[in-house]
Amino acid sequence: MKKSLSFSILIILFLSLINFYNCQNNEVIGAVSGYLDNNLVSSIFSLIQNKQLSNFTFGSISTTYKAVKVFKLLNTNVPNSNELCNLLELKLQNVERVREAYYLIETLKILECSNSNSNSNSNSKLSIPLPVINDIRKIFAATIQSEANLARIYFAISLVSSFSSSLTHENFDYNSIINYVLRLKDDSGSFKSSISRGAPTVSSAALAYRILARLLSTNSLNKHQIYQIQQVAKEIINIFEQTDNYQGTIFFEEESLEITSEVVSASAALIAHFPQLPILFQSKLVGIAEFFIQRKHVATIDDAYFLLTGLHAFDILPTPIVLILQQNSIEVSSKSNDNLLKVSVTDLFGNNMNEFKVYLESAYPVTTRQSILSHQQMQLETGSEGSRYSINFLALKPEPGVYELKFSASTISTTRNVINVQLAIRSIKIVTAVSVHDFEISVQELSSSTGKKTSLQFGEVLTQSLKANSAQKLVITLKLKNQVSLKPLSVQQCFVRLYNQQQIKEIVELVKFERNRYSFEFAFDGKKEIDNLVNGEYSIELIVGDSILSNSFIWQIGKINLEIAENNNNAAQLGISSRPVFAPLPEIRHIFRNPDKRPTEMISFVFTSLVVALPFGLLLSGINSIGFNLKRFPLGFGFFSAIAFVLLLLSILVLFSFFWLILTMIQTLTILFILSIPTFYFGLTTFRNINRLSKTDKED
Amino acid sequence: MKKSSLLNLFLVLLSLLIASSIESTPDVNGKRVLALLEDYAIKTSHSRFFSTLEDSGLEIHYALASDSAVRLSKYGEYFYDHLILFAPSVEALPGISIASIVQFIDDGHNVLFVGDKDISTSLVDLGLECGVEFDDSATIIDHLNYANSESNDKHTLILGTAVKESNLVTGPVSNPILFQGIGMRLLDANRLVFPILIGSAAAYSGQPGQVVRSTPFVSGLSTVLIAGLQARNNARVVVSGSLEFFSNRFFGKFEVVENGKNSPGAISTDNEAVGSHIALWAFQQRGVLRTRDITYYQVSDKNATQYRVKEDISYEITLEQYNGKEWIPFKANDVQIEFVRQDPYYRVFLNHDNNGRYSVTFAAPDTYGVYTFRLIYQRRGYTFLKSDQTVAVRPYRHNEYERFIPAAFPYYASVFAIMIGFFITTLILLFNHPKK
Repeated sequence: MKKSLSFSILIILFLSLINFYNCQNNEVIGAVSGYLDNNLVSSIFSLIQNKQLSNFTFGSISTTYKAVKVFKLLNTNVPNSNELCNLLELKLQNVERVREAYYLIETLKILECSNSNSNSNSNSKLSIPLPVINDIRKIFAATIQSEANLARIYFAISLVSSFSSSLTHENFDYNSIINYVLRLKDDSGSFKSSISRGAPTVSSAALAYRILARLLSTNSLNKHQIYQIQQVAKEIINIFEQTDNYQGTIFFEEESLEITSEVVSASAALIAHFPQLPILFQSKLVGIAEFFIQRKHVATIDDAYFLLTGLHAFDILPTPIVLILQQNSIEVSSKSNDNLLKVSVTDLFGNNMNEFKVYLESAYPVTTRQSILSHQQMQLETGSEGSRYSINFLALKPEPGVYELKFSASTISTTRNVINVQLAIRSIKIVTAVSVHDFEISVQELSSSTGKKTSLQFGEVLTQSLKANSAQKLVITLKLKNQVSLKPLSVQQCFVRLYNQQQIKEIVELVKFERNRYSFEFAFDGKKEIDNLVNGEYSIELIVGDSILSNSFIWQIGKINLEIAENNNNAAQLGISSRPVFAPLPEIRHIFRNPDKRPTEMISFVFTSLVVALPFGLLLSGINSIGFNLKRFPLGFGFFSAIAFVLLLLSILVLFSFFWLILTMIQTLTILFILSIPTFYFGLTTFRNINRLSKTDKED
Repeated sequence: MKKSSLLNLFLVLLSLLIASSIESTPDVNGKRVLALLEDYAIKTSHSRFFSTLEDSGLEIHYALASDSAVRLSKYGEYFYDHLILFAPSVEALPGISIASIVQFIDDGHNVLFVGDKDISTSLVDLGLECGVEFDDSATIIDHLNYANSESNDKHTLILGTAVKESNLVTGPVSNPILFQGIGMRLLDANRLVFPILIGSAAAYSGQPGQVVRSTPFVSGLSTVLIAGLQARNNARVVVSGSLEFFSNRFFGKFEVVENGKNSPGAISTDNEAVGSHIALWAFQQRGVLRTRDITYYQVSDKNATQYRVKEDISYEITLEQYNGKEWIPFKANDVQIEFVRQDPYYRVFLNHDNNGRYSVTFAAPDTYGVYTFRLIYQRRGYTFLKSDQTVAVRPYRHNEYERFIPAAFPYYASVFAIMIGFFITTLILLFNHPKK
């Protein structure tokens, strides 16, 4: 037994030495590129605060615990904590399982409910309900039978360690727990979640570390048990060998914030009990801290919890330092002290750390990679913004461009366990200003190279608009120079832009650089982007830009009036801003046909009078000439039939009038048919009587 | 009489045959979203974006774009209503082909997809299907409008400009909008695609840190960073040239340089608000309209099945807008109605009562036939509304013409004169005893 133990110690020491060697020689330890600033802390606070529900919880019991824990880690008060306390205490009385009991009790402990609510009997409320104690007993029994899983053991151990004073009468066997946990470990340092279930994982390892750390905190373990746990703590490095990395970040399980945070914080919890153990995975910690910082924009309570618990693990573990350049660029012509190259050294929460020696090891332009400096110590300055390490980089007279800077930093303090920086690479731009020289603009005939040239100084505007047609071209020539050295400068972007604001048409064309001179020719002959142009007034702009220029600019040179083609204004163009936005269409109103012209009412009246008066006059004169009488009107029996006939005849005429005014054809014909029968009868009778009268007259 | 009856019968039958009401209201209840990711790290790095969508009620199912088990549909039944494609460089989607995504859109569903540096040819093809052409070999650069950060030494982290006409899609914009990715241009052949976010006048597509030696693929205001498409079936597509645009990192604070002027300090970006708004628009949670309670009648006789020429007719309709939770009255002063018989006889603006009820009254044209009340409302960002109601307009009946026309009084008088003359002549002929 002793032999195998000493053999395994030798193996571990050997592996540790190898790892130590790797860390010290092959893996360069850098610095973290950012920290959790106050703005982010405020946004996390707002995020969690907004998630509080109307019943004062934040969702499930576990989510509420995480939210409350986040508030604690942010050093802020939980909103409505008294109401939340009362609610959780009520829930605790009815809880039966260890998981719920763990989260409730841990939350209540963070909330310090006993202090906030003086009237309540907190001691009695913060006791473990009997069903939970029974559940804990089952878990301990299951460890003996090799059936328990790590999560339940952790909850049980946490409760037992929290209430050890009130559970003294219980005989919980920690030894069986330790043995059981150790049996779950495999050679890679990972743990299975239970004997019977699944493959070993790093997340189970985190749970195992937490269980062992909790057991250590009970202070009731014997030396052998502590020794066994210490061996596990020494093998934590094996877990960290299972990390992945991507672009300077190190993480577990496909960039999982949860698992990475759990492993780091659980490792810290266990390592805290063995301060004498060397931390052999410091380079990994820098990458993990970088991973946390890259994930600092969180959106859920879970993510906020894991981010903060992960970052706070570095309160125990060696802290990686954050090294940030205070400016992104330095103006080459600047002479003020504000443009010293400055770096700040902070912890992961942005607190300044002064106890360092910071060196600028080298600096080189990314194009040539020839260093212009080696190993210069930066000076510590303390100002209103905190302490900064600075160096006069411009004294090296660097050419404009992007420079890579290599820093190292080592602590001179013995009070805080920080990870020294072997090599941190940052980049900075040395920028310069550009000036425009020999600027000339002209409109020339296509076939010639002469035209009236106008010279302008930078910033001036053409006093008169230029004019051009389709047989002409716009010609611009200029020189760009470094404002400091007055050397010709070739920039990344030198464009001329023609822009018609009314019709939202634009042409952007490249200005060519040849023999230290920029030249631009644009012919309006319809062979190129002319299709995009329409007649009208265009502004002429010169755009000069470069990432190493401090004064990239758009120069409004003047206007040009284009008269390039007829009917070109109607060309269907779908330029970017002229795409249809589906505006209302023009209104249409139906135009009604004009009514036929009619004579005035006076004329109608006159004609009506004539139409009536003339026949009536003729009738009267006729009657007068024949001497109208009714001597042949039958009398006696024939009188009635004659009267009836006349009235019926009159009614038929009236019927025709009604047909005109009211009746339909059918109605009229029906009535006419009815009227025609008596009319016919009385007509015949009348005729007979008249005939008889006529015969009588003849006989007389 | 007979002719008139036949004409009426013809008009009624034709109305019945043609009568149709085309109303297409998108399904705002569709909440199922499939998010295809390049890797699961995107779920964390873009968690705030996804969280906003989930908070608005969308149910997101996350899957790897390389997962061959993922399907959009089975036996013609779609599993999802919307698709997020955050896998710019996945060359082949084993579970979902580009053709099936196009079919997904054709069937009225919505897609948000992003290109980025190293964009796959599949996504370039999908972009072409949607009317945008990616510049897959360059990055958008702006030396005058950019974020002043250490990682932006080549000015590729630029400030985009929200297109004013697309403000319904972006929502209100008051702060800079950061963009880092590739540009695109809109194809003229597709009139339905429109820019949402564009570059400034100084933006161009090029190689970071290198001198531009040929005319850029896109430059100036033509530099489209995010484009939108609303198809004729109201399916919506958003195409972004940047995956980072929606990331948690861009939702933070940045010091920016705008037209050569440094901002006083780190200021918040509008990426979170704009990004979320764009996605909610894409997934039919914003800018969705519907029509309701369409009524139309002849003012003089509300029960008339056919309208008489020259009579006043009224058209009323209720328009509502979905605000993400409920339907609220839609208020706009630019809603037009057409009264069409082959060509529009009327195109007039509708008046609204500030409560979503729109109405207009006009006189029926003086030519009879089958007409259509046609409401076509197409505005950038809003659902395309199209509603057709067919009605018959008949001529006057014989007894509906003007009866007492002054100009015809001589004719009336002559008829009556003849009738009276006839009567008197009859009396004379019958009862007059001639003088001897």
